[in-house]
Amino acid sequence: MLRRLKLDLQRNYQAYLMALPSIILIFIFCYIPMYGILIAFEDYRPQQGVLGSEWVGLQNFADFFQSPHALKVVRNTVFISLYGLLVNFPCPIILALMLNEVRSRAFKRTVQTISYMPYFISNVVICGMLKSFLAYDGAFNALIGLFGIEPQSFLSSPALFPSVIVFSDLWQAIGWNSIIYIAALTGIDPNLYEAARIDGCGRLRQIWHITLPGIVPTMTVLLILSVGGLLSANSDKILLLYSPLTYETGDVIGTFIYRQGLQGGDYSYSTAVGLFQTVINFFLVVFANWFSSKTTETSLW
Amino acid sequence: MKNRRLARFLAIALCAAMSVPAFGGCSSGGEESSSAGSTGQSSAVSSGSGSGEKGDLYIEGSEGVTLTYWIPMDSVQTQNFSTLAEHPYFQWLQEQTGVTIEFIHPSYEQMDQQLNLMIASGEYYDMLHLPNYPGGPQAAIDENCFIDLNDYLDEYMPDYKEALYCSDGSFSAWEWGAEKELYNPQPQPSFLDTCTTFDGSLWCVTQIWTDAYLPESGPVIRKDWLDEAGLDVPQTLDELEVVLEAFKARGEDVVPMNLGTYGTNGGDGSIISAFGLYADYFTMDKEGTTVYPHAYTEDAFLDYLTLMNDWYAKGYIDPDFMNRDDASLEAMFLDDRLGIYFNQWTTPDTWESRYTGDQDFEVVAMPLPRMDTDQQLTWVNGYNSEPTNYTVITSSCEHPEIAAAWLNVGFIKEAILRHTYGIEGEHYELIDGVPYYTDVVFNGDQDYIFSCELFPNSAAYNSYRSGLLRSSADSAEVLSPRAEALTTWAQNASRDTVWKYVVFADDGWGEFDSALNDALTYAQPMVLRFIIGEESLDNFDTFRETAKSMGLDKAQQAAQAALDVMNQSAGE
Repeated sequence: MLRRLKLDLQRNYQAYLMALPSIILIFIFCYIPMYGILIAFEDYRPQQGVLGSEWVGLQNFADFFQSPHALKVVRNTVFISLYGLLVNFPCPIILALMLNEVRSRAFKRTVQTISYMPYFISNVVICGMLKSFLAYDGAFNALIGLFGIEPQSFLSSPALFPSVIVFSDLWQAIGWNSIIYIAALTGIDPNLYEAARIDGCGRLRQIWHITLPGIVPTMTVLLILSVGGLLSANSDKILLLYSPLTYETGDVIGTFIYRQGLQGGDYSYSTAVGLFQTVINFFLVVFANWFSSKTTETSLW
Repeated sequence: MKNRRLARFLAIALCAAMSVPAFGGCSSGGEESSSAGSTGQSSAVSSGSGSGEKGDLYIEGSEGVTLTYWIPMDSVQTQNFSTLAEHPYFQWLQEQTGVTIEFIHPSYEQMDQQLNLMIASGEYYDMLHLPNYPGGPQAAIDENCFIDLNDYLDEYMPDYKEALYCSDGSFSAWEWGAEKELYNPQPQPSFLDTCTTFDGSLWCVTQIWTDAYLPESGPVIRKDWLDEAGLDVPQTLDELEVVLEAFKARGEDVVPMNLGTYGTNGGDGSIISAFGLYADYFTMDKEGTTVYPHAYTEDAFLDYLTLMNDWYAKGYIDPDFMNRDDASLEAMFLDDRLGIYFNQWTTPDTWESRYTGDQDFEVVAMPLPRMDTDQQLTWVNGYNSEPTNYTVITSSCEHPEIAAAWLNVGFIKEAILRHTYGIEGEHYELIDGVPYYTDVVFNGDQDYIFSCELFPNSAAYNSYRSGLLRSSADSAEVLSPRAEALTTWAQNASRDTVWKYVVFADDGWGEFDSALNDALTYAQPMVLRFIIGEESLDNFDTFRETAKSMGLDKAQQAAQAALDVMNQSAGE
């Protein structure tokens, strides 16, 4: 195997050279700091350093799980992530497919630009806008009032809160996420479409049989990657929008430990919970990759 | 052949270029992390010591001594100076004391990070301003970062000592003139306790005020709406209810009053203080020996919730109160949609200057509502005697006695006049020996003057009087608009309330914090549900028991245990 590697290096050294900076970067900033995981098992004090702090084993993890709210918080995290995945995964694909069918390039470009503008607005500004729109006397309630629907208190209702988070994420990221699909779509051989048309396929059947299979590799990769973020639901937006009334469905791992650990500067506690999240995410990614390689023959590795 | 060589060269050059940002990122924080003593990026003012006569403030042994001072600049200063060595006050101080100061200026966001770097290296600048040492001051002393100033207090810091121990206002007596009757300043309790660690070390030189600050937040009410309804400014809860009803009658989109996002009006404690409660922290008795149970578990809290529930149902309280932020409340108030704005920080005159609408906008400060006009509100107070704007001397300082003497200067009358009142004849004049600001200050850009010409917010004496007299030229006869608002908010506030900080040993804090958080994660949503009516008030007892078992009891016990330890070691 080493011989094959050596041969490959000799023949494709340019490719390896191009990858080299990224590899070095990841090694320095991601692998070397991994020893910091030890913090999760210690009672970390910065002065004593990572090696000098007292070892407490699984105490920090126990502290988290002993809280009466731990299970609810994990449940909320998983729910919001899955819900988000369900909504935010197909929609950019649908948008990309629709844009692909549009003939006018000017129209296509305009729609693309407008759709990914919200992505560049910071979360804080978005949340400020949302608070204003979704207020009891705000614009959104005025809008649905036109259809005769009762004004809702969106940001105080545990039932509606996850939807607020998920759909605002959708609005923010749909354009940006569709870019990669649009790019993938251009890589599909137009001759296939020709052949299909000759065989008598209508628009929809063409999409089903040619376009979708063409982007399945891209979809798979992105899906596996999204699964890797399952336990790390979007805390900043939730932190800005939630209130005690929505703790029931809105309190996620990130916000819970923010209230708990951060005020006291409890590094060990936050690291432990973060480690828990990462480990679960890791196994989910491995599982998703295995599953995908078995079913669609595409996988990340 | 040539093209291939060029292509190859470009390929390699491209790789190299791409790797540069990776390493460039490493040094971004490096500018100000030079170790103590080395010349940083800031310039040292050339020493003027030894020339000419030595004044009263001259510090012996200051020749050739350079002290490094790590202190952030505020936003106005960063716009006008590249280093505080250019600040007129510090130049004056340099001339007077003979000590050369080398300034290092972190930005506020970088401070914790830089401090951690210093801790990791073990080398500190001579003086640090506002270091947020992980583990607190006791840890800082134990781990050989801060030094114990008690060793220098008597010999080098007599004026700081006097200010530190003062609890009767005598330190600032010289400042007050004929207006003292009008403003009636109360004494601030001594800062000694909060500047002393568990084992008795004095860990900082803090900003000290010896006149008690009145609360700077409180409710404001639309006076013109009151006049239209023929009502007076409400003093009690009953009168307040009448006013709310009248405001409600003004229209659909008018919100009579706001409420804080957690169901209480935070800092100034409006309304809940009338029930004798304070919901934001645990409270303790006056002697500082017993921690009271959390406000949520008291019977009076049920009375409070009942009232709030009633008012919410009647539409007196903002229906969306749990989601409002300050920006939207301000907008509502200035848009004639809010009648009473609780727990805000702007005085009526500023509100009136910001209004641009059509109505006869008139705003007055409202006293905190009480049960009856005689009630003394316990948990309402101004600022506690807690270290703010403090500077510490570190173990890396080679001339701690000079540093101590230099920091002491901020408490000497001559320097106080200079950093608080400015230059005589220009910023202030003396009338019967008492300083009063001149028109230069009243008409000038006060933000600039009080940041870049004077320096009143350092680890030095802080004048309460200066803030009051900054906004009114007729200061001896009439309360300034700001002082008027503050005295209204302080009406009926019990002068007995003191703040005491409980210091937790080791992981007592972790236990306290997690128990409290567990309890509040349950309790806070319940409180809101009680108020908006989603939860029946009959369930209050169940709520109380659950909250206690979830962590309020445990947190109270942890706090009590820590308090006991504190009192024990203080008694030794």
